[in-house]
Amino acid sequence: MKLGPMRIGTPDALVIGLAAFACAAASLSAHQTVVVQPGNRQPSAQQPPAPQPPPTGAAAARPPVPRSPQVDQAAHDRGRALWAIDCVGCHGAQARGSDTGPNIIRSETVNFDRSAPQAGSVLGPFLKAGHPTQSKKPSASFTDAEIADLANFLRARVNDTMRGSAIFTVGDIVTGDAKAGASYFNGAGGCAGCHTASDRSLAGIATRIGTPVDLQQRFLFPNTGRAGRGGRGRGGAPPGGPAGAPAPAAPAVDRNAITVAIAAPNSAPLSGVLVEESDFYVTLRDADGTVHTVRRGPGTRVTKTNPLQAHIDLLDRITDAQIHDVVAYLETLK
Amino acid sequence: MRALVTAGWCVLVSAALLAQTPASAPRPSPNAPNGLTAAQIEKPTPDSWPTYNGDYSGRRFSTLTKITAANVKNLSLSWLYDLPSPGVIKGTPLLVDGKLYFTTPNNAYATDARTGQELWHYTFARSRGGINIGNRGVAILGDSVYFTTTDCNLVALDIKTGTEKWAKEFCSLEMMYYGSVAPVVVKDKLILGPSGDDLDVPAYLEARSPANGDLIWRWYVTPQKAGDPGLDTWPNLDMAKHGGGMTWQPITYDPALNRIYVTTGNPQPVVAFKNREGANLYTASIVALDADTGKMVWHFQASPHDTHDWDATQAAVLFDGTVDGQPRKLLAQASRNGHFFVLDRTTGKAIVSSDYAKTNWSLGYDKKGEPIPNPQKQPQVAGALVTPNQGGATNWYPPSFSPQTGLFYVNVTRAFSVWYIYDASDNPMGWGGTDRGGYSEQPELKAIDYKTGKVRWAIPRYGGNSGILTTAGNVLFNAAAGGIGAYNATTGEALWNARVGGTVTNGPITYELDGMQYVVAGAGSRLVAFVLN
Repeated sequence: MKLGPMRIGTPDALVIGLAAFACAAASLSAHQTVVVQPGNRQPSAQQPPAPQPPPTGAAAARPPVPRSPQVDQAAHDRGRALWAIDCVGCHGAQARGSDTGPNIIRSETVNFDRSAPQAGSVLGPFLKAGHPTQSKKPSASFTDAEIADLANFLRARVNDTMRGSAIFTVGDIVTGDAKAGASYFNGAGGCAGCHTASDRSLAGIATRIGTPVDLQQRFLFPNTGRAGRGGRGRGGAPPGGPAGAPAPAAPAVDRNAITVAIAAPNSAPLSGVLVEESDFYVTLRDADGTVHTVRRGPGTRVTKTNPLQAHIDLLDRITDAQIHDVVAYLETLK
Repeated sequence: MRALVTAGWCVLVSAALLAQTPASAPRPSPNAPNGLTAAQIEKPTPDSWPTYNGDYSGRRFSTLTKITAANVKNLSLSWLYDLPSPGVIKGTPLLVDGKLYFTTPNNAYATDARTGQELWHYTFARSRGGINIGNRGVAILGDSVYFTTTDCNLVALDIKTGTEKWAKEFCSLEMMYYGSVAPVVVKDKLILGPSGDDLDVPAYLEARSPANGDLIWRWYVTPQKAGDPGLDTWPNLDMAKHGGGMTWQPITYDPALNRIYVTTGNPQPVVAFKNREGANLYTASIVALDADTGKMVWHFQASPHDTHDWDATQAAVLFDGTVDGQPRKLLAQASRNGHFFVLDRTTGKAIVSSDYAKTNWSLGYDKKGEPIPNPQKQPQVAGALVTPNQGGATNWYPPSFSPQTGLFYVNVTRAFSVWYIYDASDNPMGWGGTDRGGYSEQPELKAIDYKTGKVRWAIPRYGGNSGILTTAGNVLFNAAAGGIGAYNATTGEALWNARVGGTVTNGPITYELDGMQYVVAGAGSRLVAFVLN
């Protein structure tokens, strides 16, 4: 059975559903309104956008604000040297303040400067107006170049706090007890039941998976990032979940794929890899590669099997200490 | 060949619809010439959806009964409108005088509610930046349409032409705020707040003039000066002043009590928490404000000292119910942190606290009914396994409450992730950490009994996360696989699905025009309307 428009709604809704899909498909390429309603029987051509008033006032002159503005690294490094001489004592190494001076990471002067096309264009007038310095140098005597250097240093300090910044990385996570981890692995965790020397072997896992954090993530969420499902980052959507995504291309043997068995009255039982579920239908790919879509009816029994269920079951019972112990143990399997 | 076949279906069904649908002439506008009034927003008629939630209550319950659980399977496509450029419709359309008004970031659209034909499309072309994650829609008063832009402008448009009347900055893009909320008209004011959680800046809710956008009042979510209430829940004034708590979502409002119910976002810094010991009021809270002055009347904190980005900005849904035999004015929220609360909306006192998704981060409730966070489940350098994940047990998608069934409906995701501290210093800023990876159980639609907080039933949800609509026809509309579905509001039984090219991405609405009940939902860049044959 083909995928796509054949799997729609209840039988009563089938024709209309087909039409909805078909009309939708027909309208995909054109930016237009599709109308199936009296009073407006022709699809309307797209209206030209309403004329926009010319930008007026101050807003017109104000430039775009990048989320993470560029930092001139050489200027930043010069700025850091100036910072060490005249600013660090009060505002701290990260510009986050000290007992004697405020945190300026969230100040308007720093952030309006950070948002301006020209580094230093807001900080400059602020310093020219007079501000205490560590060396007692009059702040008005900073040159434009020095102000730009300081501004670049401050841009980087704000950027540091942003998601996606270079310092937004995992610290040392191998804090557990490898011995306790081995004991959990072979005992309460139940891991050794599946991971043996000859099957699903973890020999060399710490080499195969480059970083401890990736190892930790993989052990807790082995399906995350796998092709065709669960690869949506956080949350790892289950098959047929939020995306309602089409089936991935027929894979080679995937021993971790979720399988489904369907038993229905007066029908031969079916089983295979789960492709998609909806309120009314279940779609699977059998061992021959044939895709079957089965309507859920009275008496239809759908049994799903996730080969990774043992990992999923851990989530509700493993403690953070046990997680860290297991990672410490797995890290020994070079 | 395939294209020919599908085109043929279009013609066939068009013809079928033409045969079955009564012809109609456009009605004279009841609101001409001065447009929509505040009184009409307060008591909306079934041929309108004049404010974000349809009415001020946030219930997203329609009294329309043409579509019922028995006949909803006969719903069929009325029209489709595709955006002229890529975008995702996350906002709820407003319906006034037979016309729909909706948005995507920096864009507003008007279409005919009977045909989907575009009437105008406005682009705020001079946006200076901000985050394009979504826009919740417009507010309408008189002959003006209002929406917020990503670069912090509140824009007023002429409702007939989409021509810009004025734009006024209501937050600072330089301070990393942005606009995404749908303003809500309350009497003679527009109520709105800013979005953003990158820089540690204070959140607020504002009342502004519909005439020119001037500020009327502003309520800050966190203490801004010595003596402000809640300051004792922060280590110092500096942290409180920069404590975040964005007002991401449209407010609800009780005209009889003259109170606005605002829900607030997570505290800042978001994940690394070392420098903000305490409950961090009034972040992650439900707060009642006097609608005229913006003064706080009461608060309830859904996530004391949140460390997981769990905004409590889910709708504060208002309804009247009976508790222990007594009639009560209630407020309910299914919060992002997995807990469900029913409060007395006069006093803010909790009546029910329960978990609607099994969580692992709290240790029961305190005497106020607020969850007690388990310190062990705060983010750690080596990682803490937590459920829900950052996305939450639910998120911004509007829930629904049906007074017919007494059930509160919410789309639920039970997912795990691991929370890491990246900035282990004593004075982290911004985020300082995040969660990674995860596993999600089968997402569900749950129906919660407001009297007990217990989940009456749950069904698998095969569509994406979306808003929910319930009607007096005992029907619930929600996302379904590849589109939209209808369910029996009493039992959860699936009644109807239609694929519309993508799963629903906003809160569906319903209205009646010319004796026909429409259901309209956004699905990605498409607005789709169904009607009963």
